[in-house]
Amino acid sequence: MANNKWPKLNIVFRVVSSIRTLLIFSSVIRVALILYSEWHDAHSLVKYTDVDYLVFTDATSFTLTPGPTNRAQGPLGKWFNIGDPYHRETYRYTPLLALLLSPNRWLHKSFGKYLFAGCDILAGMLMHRLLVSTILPIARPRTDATVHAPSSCQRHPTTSRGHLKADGDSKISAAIPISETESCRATLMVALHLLNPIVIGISTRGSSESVLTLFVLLTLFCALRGRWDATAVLLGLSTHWKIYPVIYGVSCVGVIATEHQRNGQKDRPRGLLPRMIQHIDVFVTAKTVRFAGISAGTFFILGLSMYLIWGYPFLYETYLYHLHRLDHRHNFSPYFYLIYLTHPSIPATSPLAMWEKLIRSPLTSFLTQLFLSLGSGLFFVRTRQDMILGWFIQTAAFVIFNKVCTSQYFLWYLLFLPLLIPHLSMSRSSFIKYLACWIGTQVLWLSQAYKVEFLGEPIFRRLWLCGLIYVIGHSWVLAGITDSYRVGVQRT
Amino acid sequence: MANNDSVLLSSTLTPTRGFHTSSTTRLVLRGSHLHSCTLHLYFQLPAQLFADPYELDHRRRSYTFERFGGGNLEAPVFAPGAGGPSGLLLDVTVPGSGGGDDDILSIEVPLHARYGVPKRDGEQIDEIALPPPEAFWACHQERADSGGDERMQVPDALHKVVKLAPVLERASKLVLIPHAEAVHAQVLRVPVGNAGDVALVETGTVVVVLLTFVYLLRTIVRASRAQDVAVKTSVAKKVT
Repeated sequence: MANNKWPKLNIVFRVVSSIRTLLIFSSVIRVALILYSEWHDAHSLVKYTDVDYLVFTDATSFTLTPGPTNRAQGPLGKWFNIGDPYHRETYRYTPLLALLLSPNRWLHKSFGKYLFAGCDILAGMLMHRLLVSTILPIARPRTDATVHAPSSCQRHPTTSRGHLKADGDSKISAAIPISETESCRATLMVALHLLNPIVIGISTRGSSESVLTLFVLLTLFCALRGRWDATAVLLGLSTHWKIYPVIYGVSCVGVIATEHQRNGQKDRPRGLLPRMIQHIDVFVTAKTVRFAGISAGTFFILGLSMYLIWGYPFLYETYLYHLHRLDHRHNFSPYFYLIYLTHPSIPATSPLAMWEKLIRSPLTSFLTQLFLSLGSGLFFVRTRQDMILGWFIQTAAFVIFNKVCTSQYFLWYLLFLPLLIPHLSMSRSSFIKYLACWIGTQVLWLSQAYKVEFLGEPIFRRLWLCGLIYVIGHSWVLAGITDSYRVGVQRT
Repeated sequence: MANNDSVLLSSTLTPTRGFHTSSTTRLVLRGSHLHSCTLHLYFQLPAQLFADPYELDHRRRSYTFERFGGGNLEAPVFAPGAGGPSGLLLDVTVPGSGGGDDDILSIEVPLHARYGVPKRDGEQIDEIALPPPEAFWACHQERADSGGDERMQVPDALHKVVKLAPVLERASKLVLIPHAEAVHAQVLRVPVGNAGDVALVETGTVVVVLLTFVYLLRTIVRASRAQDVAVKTSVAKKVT
């Protein structure tokens, strides 16, 4: 999209002419909305604040005010004068979140919202750093590139070419100057995230997704710089916070294995078994085992600490609950209707055939989700520069094929888009089609869900069809983004 | 005995369709208030309706509450965790007044519906009947005023409430507020699934999921091969 085709973009760009201006502007919007939310909630029965925020705040209160019926239930719980956050029904998060929001109780009830908004801003700063230090130098203009910065960014042409060494060197050469053009482009990309109404709304309403977003970005930041020990620790922390980031582990192992292999690449042997042995030999190395060990160790140390204090309720609510949850209530995933109609509590009218048992088995749907989200990480991501698209595909596939999906889940993969756009080669018409599809499928579903939930119309079948359209539409968009990805660097 | 001509004027549900509604009860508090009495409402909620205690907590300026039963907030009506019918007892804050004037008090309680059992035939709607609440004063005069060791007379309609909430037994008298003639059970219409859709939904979901799975798998493999070609081309250019 050349700038002379988007003259109005200059106006937007003047508003966010520097990263500092953008960060200040984004912070002001968030603070204003949080202040507004306090006024709104005090004067309206329909609250601005997300129900989840009230869940977190209640859990924090329970944690900080132990009582006879409210005590940490772990083996070491009695050593700590601390309550049980799981006393709060529907609190299904790590106790660390409840502890993190302690100031909600003794400082101000909106502290958590300011914290989540602050995580948004930090994420924006991290994105900018990644863009200027790593991503844009790799994606410097090639003949087939169709994404260009607005004219106000092109006062200073590129002065040198940079490259990302694929031999494990963790530092981008400090001698490679970043042009003002690229800095402007980076700011624009970050603005797509920081000024995204979904992102702003989620954090100012009190959803904690921005904390995990920050953890995931930090993990990616360290991985792109080859700091694998730090990556492993952050991956363990992210997985403790929410399970899904574990899928990024396979791509990290793949990259470490590939980088290590380059230093002594062997010829491919003949025969399936020898090739399998070579694959195992490639992936199981001292470095990959170290990475996996540190990552798993971090996860288990955190989990064990929480279990020792808070006991089985922590284990169940944070992890085990998700293994056999049955989300029968309507959500974007078309599985909701199947779960509702075939709920185990509804007696079957006739014995189930084997194929019916197979279809209804949670394992069947889980396998497709797992294969795509893990497989794309393992087989697609081979170098660090592939990680951004790889993680995007892994996360989007995970969300699309998940048995439950709400709007907050989209944030899990949207955070990669500003980092991915410099590598995308897409015509304007394609971009509009994909954006229209992504938004349109959601609007379609929401319009029918409103009729079911608030108007009481018996249109579950139609709502389920909209869920299928959502799966098809979002898969098409994911495929389009994947197909438009262009690598801009020579690999050694 | 203090005069009590209070009447429960109306009890309505708004809206009367969908999974979320609000019960509004209007009371006329006539005559001299029973100053040593507290005003209560008791709702007998059917299994398919529930009140969210965390939501009710935001209305503590208007009333405090106690739930009896209710089960898991997220469970459908047919799941064991749903808990069956439940009770909701409100201790209503009565605004101060000069006494002797009619006060009309409006009490709003948000309610939510659980998913119902899917139906195979007929209209895919459950009609949930919510009886009007019982409104009553709980008076705490000294036992001496009422004549010594007399046991508290409990109106028939409140026997169940007293069993659930022993705190009411400390009251010296419970005075039931009569309903106006027009007060009757309200009906909430909630959609349910169609049990006949099982085969279609099973087949359709599996087919679409598998087809999109294959589609995305091919896309990823194609992208991966394109990456390999790009790398080989780049290496070849470097060599030449």
